[in-house]
Amino acid sequence: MKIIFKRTTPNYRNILSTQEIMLYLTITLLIVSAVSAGYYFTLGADYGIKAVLMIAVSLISAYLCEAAYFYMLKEKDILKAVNRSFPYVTAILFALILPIGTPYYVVISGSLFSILIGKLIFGGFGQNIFNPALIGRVFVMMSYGDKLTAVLPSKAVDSVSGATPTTMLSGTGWSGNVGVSLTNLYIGFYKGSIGETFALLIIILGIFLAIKKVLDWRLPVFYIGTSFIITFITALVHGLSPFGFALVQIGIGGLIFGGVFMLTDPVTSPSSPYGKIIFAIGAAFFTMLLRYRSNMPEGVLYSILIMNMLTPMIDRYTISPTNENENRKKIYVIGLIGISALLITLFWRGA
Amino acid sequence: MSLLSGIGKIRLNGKKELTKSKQVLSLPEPEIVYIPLIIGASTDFDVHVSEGDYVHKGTKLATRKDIYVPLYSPVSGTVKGIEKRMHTSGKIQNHLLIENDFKDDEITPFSYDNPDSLSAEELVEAIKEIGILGLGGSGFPTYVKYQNAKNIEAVLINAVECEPYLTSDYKVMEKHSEELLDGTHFLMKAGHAGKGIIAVKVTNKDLILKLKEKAAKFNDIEIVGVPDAYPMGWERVLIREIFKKEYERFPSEIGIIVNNATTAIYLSEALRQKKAITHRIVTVSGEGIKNPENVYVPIGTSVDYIIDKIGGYNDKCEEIVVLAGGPMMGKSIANDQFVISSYSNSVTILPKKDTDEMPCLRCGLCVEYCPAKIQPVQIMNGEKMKDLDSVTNAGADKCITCGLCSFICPSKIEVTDWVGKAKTRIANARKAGGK
Ligand code: SF4
Ligand code: SF4
Repeated sequence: MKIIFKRTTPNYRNILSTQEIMLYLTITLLIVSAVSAGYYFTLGADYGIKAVLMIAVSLISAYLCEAAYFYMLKEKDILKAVNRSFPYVTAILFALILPIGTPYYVVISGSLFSILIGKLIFGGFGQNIFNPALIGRVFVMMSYGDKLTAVLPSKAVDSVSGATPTTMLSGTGWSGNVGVSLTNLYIGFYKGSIGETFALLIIILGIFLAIKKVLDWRLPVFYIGTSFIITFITALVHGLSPFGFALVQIGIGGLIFGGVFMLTDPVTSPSSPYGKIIFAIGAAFFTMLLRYRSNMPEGVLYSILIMNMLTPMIDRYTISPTNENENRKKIYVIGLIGISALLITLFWRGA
Repeated sequence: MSLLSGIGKIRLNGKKELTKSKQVLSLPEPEIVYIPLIIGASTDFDVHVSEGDYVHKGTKLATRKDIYVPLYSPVSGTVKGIEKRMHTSGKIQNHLLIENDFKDDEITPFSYDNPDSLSAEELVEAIKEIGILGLGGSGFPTYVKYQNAKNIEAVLINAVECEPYLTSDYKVMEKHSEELLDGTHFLMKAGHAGKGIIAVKVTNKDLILKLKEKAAKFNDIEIVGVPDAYPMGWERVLIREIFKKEYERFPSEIGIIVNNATTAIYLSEALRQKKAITHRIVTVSGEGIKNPENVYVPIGTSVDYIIDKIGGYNDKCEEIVVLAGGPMMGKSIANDQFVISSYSNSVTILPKKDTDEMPCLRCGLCVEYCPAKIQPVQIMNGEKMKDLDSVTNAGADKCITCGLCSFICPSKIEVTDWVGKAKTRIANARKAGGK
């Protein structure tokens, strides 16, 4: 028995660890993966197997990439170093935002890109500025855009069924038919990226993660909430049925998936409550702006990357004590949401 | 939960069951007591006795020079000189040695014949003469709060004891509920306050009932139950909870004086029984010892003596840490030779645990839980860059070293220490700037 002097306080620690946070996140992502694979098996065994293999291939590539990286850094315990870098979270996330028709070599190169360029070159876990999975997604979209289809290449003849609700809607100036019923849009049994369609399930998992303190509830709530308000007001002004329109708009394009799993990546989002709220509202604004005013209906992706870039700025702007000027901050928040809704209403060129 | 400023407190596993239902042990008195000649940062004392002198229990031994605080002998016996010894501050300090003759030969160092007729000013003078210090080891004398008090509406008695493992306040209050109310009345009178509030954790139902029963006789003392959360016992959080108010620097700005429960009890005992503070109840707990207990010992009893008397350390632990205080705010002391002061409420002994530090996730949990409503992660990042402006703007000096940010951090980063360094940086810059 020896008395040790410990320079640091406190000597009492919470159980929740970063390893556990990542574990919870991975479990929820695996649930999404399992449901997704199940859905694709109903379309045919080849679809189901493809979905499973895409996730597996992405995982293997990510692990190999990290192992090679740490090997080159002459790390002694490579396995430990890789495990402390959590490649699996990025790898699964990346696979889940690809459509089913994505060829394996695209999955591999995207996964490698996510890990290497998205995370490792910034100095590894905790240092990256952008969400690594999204970096990978943008990379494959730019390099192999035409390969990212929602049908297996072998079945490419029936190209109509490859259209996702998002692409269909954008083709009709956003006021046409989604192609799936509102209920199914939320249940998720339609084609899109393999993991992002199961909105209802993702919401439930998100609530679980928020309770477990794995993610901050403010991010998805303000992101999805602001998106809802923006589209609701847009529809109202432009004479569409506001509820139906807004529900469709937040149901498509992986918005809910992005809000729960991508926007909430702690490393790339601000750390204060106020900062997180500004961040989420900004992402909602850019999502809608890109959706309606660019030829990239997948606004979610870019909007989150844009906000990732602004995170250091938001952090600097919100550095003062969190209970200073609370009322003024609340007014700013409402103002930001209002301005976003107004601008999108003005910019909207549908109908 | 607040949307913008986070939760600011947390429910901890209190581990109070280790000692709460056990009887307080009155240990045999030690042969030697060591009276620390240090209070807060001040080590400048007038020592009134010299080696070989006979002292009574209650003899005035020394007084602090810069701010008046008297020290009384907790036992009768012979002065054995001054020795350097470990202190709860973590540094070696001068201690006055008294050899106990076990005669318990007591004198009355002060005498207030009719305590109920004392005026407010006389009461403040009495609090000063009794030598009551605030808890937490900062050694802030209680009377100072009252000397400068103006327009005080309420005296808030902090009986929350939110640190895990600690039950000494609970034990004292259980036994001295009468004195607690009596002392609260004296404090109210000293501050010209019309109202007294005693804040107890809602989980201490029996104690609340008992106090409510006793308080029913008066109509100016209210017993309030507060949530079982940490750091509920910190003035700012407690006032936020009860009064829904914030203040700049001191609670007196909004008409409140906060005192600890033991302060009220000491005061009542000193006034009514003419007794100096000679003994106290201390929680000695944690998984690092065999039998966690509350012990009743003279001031100046060495911790190794107490641990030996209650069964010693837990042999199963190879390495332990000995903390002056609880596990959240307590300080690790390099050995067990330090002694119990009038303001020491506990010693916590824990098996040493190594933490596996991961990179910062930037998850913001430290921000969400910080009771001072500052952003520990931002302050840490600013401090790493040695950026004085950034840590100042972030309000690092508001930190109360509650330890919650390190506690909550999933990456097990020593965030509290980083904020501590930033605080020192600000203080040094202020000193250099002559402000
Ligand atoms: S709690 Fe720890 S990991 Fe999270 S932001 Fe604070 S310092 Fe970083
Ligand atoms: S130690 Fe300081 S910075 Fe950390 S939570 Fe407590 S008050 Fe906030």
